[in-house]
Amino acid sequence: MPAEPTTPIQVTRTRIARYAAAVQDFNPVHFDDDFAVAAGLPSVIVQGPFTVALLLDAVLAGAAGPATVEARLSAPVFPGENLAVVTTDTGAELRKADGTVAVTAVIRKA
Amino acid sequence: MRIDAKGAILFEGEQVVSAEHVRNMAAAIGTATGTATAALVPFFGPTVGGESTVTDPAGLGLDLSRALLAGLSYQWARAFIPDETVHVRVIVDDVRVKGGNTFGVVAAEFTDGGGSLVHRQTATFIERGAA
Repeated sequence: MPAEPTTPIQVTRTRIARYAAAVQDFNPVHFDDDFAVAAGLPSVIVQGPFTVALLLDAVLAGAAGPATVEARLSAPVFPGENLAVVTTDTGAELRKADGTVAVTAVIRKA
Repeated sequence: MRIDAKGAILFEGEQVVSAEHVRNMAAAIGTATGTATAALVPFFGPTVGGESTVTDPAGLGLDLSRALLAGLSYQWARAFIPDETVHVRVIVDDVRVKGGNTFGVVAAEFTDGGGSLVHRQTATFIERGAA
């Protein structure tokens, strides 16, 4: 049953940097605005796996982990955007303030 | 992207899931439940062996200026345990061309000391065709 959105999530550039350091992902599209603009984006973007981790964190809230997750990344997320996780019949979505779905995750329990 | 990269081994070796690493991931997640979530997803498969494994022309040969991550799949037998050592194998699972774009799938498999699966993940990259 779909539910109300979670507490808003906002990913700052500092959190992007923390995630990059944790997973050793130094793709410049996550920290170099000039590189991101040259790639056709308005600014740097949040790492896709980070957005999925934030979605999982909101859905699971510390409960036992799922068996599988299939996540489709359909829109880039930019620093400072307000995001919300909305549960769906099959898992959850990470949505932007304008309703754009950034991540759709199908979550199956063990 | 190297279209004949399917089957290439990008990285294989041992990896310590250090408690510090899990703490750093939890700090990035930044919530009260971040530690539990970090123990599920402490790694991004394509960068476990260093991001050069996916950008190296002898590996996947991904051009970061034209690439985006399109999808992720995760499978768990259990969460990672801080300070355990796991064996990691990262391979190019598939490469295909469709509509002028190239799709590359990188799979990372994490097994414990007894060879049992802990976690498997795939990451699908899309590389736009060169202008």
